[in-house]
Amino acid sequence: MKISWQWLKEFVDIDVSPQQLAADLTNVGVVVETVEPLEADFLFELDLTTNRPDCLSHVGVAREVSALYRKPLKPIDVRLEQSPSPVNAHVTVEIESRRLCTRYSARVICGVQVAPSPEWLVRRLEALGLRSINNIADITNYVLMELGHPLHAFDLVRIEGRKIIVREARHEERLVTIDGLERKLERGMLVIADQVRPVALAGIMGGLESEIGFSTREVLLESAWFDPLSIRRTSKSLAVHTEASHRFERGADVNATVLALDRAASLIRRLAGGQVQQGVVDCYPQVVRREPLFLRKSRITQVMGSEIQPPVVGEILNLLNFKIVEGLAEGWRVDLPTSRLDVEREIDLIEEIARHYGYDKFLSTLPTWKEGSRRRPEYSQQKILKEGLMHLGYSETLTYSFVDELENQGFTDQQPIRLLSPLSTETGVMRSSLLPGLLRSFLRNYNRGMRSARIYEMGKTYRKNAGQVQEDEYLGMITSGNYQEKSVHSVTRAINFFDLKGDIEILLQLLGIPVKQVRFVGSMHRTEKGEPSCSPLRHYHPGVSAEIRWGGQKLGFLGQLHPKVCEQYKIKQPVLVAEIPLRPWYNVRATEKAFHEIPRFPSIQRDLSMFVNKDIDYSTIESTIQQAHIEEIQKIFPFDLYMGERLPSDKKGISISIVYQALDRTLTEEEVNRHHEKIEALLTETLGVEIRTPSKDVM
Amino acid sequence: MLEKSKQIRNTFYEEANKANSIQELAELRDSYFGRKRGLLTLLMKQLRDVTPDNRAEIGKELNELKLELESALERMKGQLEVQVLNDRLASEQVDVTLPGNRRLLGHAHPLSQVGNEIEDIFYSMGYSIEDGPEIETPYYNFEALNIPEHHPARDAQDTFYVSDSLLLRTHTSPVQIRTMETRRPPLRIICPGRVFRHDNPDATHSPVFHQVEGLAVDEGITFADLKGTLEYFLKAFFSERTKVRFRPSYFAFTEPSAEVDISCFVCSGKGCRICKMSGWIEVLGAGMVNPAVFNYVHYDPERYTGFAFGIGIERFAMVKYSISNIQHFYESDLRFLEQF
Ligand SMILES: [Zn+2]
Repeated sequence: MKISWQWLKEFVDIDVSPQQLAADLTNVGVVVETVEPLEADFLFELDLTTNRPDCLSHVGVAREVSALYRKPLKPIDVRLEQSPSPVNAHVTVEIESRRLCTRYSARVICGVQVAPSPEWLVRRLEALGLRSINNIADITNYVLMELGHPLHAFDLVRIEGRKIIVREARHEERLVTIDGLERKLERGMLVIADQVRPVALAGIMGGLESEIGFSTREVLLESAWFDPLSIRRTSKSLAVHTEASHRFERGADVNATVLALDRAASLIRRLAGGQVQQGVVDCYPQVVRREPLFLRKSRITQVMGSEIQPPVVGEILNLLNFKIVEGLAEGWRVDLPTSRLDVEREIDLIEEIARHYGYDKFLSTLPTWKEGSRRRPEYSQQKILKEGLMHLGYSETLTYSFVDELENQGFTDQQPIRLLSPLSTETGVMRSSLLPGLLRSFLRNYNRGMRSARIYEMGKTYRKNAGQVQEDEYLGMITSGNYQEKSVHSVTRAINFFDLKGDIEILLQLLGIPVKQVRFVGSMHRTEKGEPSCSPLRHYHPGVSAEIRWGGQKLGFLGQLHPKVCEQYKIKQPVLVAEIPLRPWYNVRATEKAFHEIPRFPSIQRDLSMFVNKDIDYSTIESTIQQAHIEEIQKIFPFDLYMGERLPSDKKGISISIVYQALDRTLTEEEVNRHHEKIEALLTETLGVEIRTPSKDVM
Repeated sequence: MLEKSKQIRNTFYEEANKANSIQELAELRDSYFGRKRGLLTLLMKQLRDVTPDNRAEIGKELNELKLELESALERMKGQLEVQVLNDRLASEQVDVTLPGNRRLLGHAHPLSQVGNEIEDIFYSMGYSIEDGPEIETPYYNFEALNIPEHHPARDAQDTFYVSDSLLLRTHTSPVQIRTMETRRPPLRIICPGRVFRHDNPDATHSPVFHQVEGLAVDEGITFADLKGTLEYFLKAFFSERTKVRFRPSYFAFTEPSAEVDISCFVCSGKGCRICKMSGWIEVLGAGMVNPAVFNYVHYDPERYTGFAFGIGIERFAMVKYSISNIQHFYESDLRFLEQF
């Protein structure tokens, strides 16, 4: 809404500068965005909240100014010279739909001269962004901007039977509005009709046929009050938003219809001549009277934290047009004007008083509490993970929660949750995986030449679960390129599966999840019965990916991205990713820490090299050794792995170290030899390995 | 013999001065103390031939000479060893100005950092942290917050729907309703999270953004408490010198409502580009909980009062780090992320 400084001053005296007024209005909640000079005037651009339709006019803003500076409002000039012929002789009005139209007032002006508006009127309207049409139409707009009440002018001759009927549209009824569009109407839409057809979309836009033209001689001026909800629905469903509908849907003043008519009629008489017919056709079946409200002094203090002096309360209420009907010791009985439908409860009045009293005058205190605060455990777990990721070199990204449907499909079998009206097809569904976003994040950096990166996102993914929407918190990781930056200290090498696996193991450890108990099951791994051990995901390289398991729980998936996926994204290097559902990670109970005596006796480490069939996992070798039930084994680890020319193609060579130690004595050579031989025999027997090197002490 | 001893002493020191290595020093020792041919050893042997009268005197002299030369040798050896060590260490010198051998640290997203900071301040003031679903029902997102269907306020926050009965929450306030439904006052919570508005992305709009909303409900909570709480928070977050201004505004969820501004820290209130010449920067919205909202969750509005506030994390991050385009947060450009 734009307000003219000169126009405003016609209704209230202002002693301060336009800039000062702008600041002061902003401080009482009527936000002035900008003040721009325009010739001898200043234009205020207001940013009004939806509860204040009363400020969508100069008089409305003048009332705020009057309360602000404690100055009276000046009267509005509506002196009117009327001809003796009564208006009833020219038109009749019937409200059929009383639910949607509370009041319909009309005046008739005969013998007008429709012409272009005078210069001053054109300028005033144009300054506010309104196009000048002709003197009659311009006057209705002028009064709208001045008093805030929408008016409509009809060419009375075009009103069939000189009868106005306010009714709901009939099914499939049509109306060509003044913008030239034919509107298909529905039941429930309120129209102004004559005896045969609709002539206007009530409160929104007039019809083309009854529009004022240069040949118009008789003008019917309409000033009504329509149900805000109905106007809003119709305006939305027909997608027409006008100055009139904007005000009606926020609530106009039902008791201002005649004032607006009189103001417009007096201007028409002045600028377009003609005779204003005697009286107003005023269809107002149920006069709106608002119940007075009781405002308690104690409630002001209870809400605001301090008392406001009763005379101050009285003055503010009066200036804002809330008349005090009765003053009592406990408070005031206050009349509610129909111009302020937003004020209907005690708390609304308290707000009115508070904003004109000044928010800065209230105290600043801190509330006292009787309890401590808590954070849910996930909160600190999440923090630990984020810090861990940061130390592991991963940078955090945040991406949109909606992604392209086709892209999403590449990473999930879930039915997507579609947006009904997405911004674009690229953001059409709620993501079922963090990978599309992470890949795009990686790609954005990759495409500008950054080949190495570690990135993660922590956020929700969405899916349908038994008809219900399910939100799952996920950690997605992506890493590619070199393990370390090019450096004088070390030779660079490409990041591989085990780097990512190691990072995940560290994260598990940080949350206190026993890494030893977590299993990584390869995508191609089969059970003894030959069935797949896990359900592999198709966007992973089948040979370089694994499911993470802890007991029966799935803790996520990691691996190299399938080369086909890389191809789709035009990434020409291996990319490693992980998808980790955080709920099960949070739910794993960290093992209670308990102290174990530090061994006092020396340990003995023995190496063991063997040839073994390629399809035998390292974990199988380790678990086979465990089956020997040698309690002196402290630790087993692999330290060398080779495949190639010197070996048959179905074999691999692997070397492991075993650390023996007893808690109560120094182990003897013979003991360790016995254990080691037992292990060799067991491995040969159960896994068919070929032991390469004789066992030997390594210190 | 005494003459001889004096001569030995002199030549020893002459030769010793020429010894420059441990090796030469060992040779020197050998030439004086060598078991067979050592000059001093040989002289000592001659002591047998000295007359008993003089033997004591000469013996004493020779012994003194021996001790003196031995300690001189030790001393020189020590000096040489120090020098050898120093030479070795000098040869091991590295270029300490080369970069350290480290794995590069990752970066937390600026929105995470700002979000954490906000949460920590409120946690320290006794607030608990709650969260809730991002896909919500219109009841929790609008109706229970006193925004009925067809309320013009629903226009201002154009909403993504996923079905007739489900939408992407436009604020984290639904969490407040959900919390009030399950708990009785006193209540003081903050609800951080992701929210959505149907806005095309530009420099100041993002269809996805983050909020921290707060709520305090108890007997005796006043507007003064709201002012005090937010003043404390804003000073803690921005700086002790920050001035805070409350302006009347309108939110369906609160009444009276306020926009909260802080004094511009770039120009300290004089007016500049950042604050659009006003000296103030709008940072958040707040107000006293509307009694209508209490009715929805069956709190007695006569007994309880409360305040609520909503903080835009992007807004705070943009103000704090002088970021002028909100899109940076979602573009994942490492050149941006690595600055935080
Ligand atoms: Zn500034």
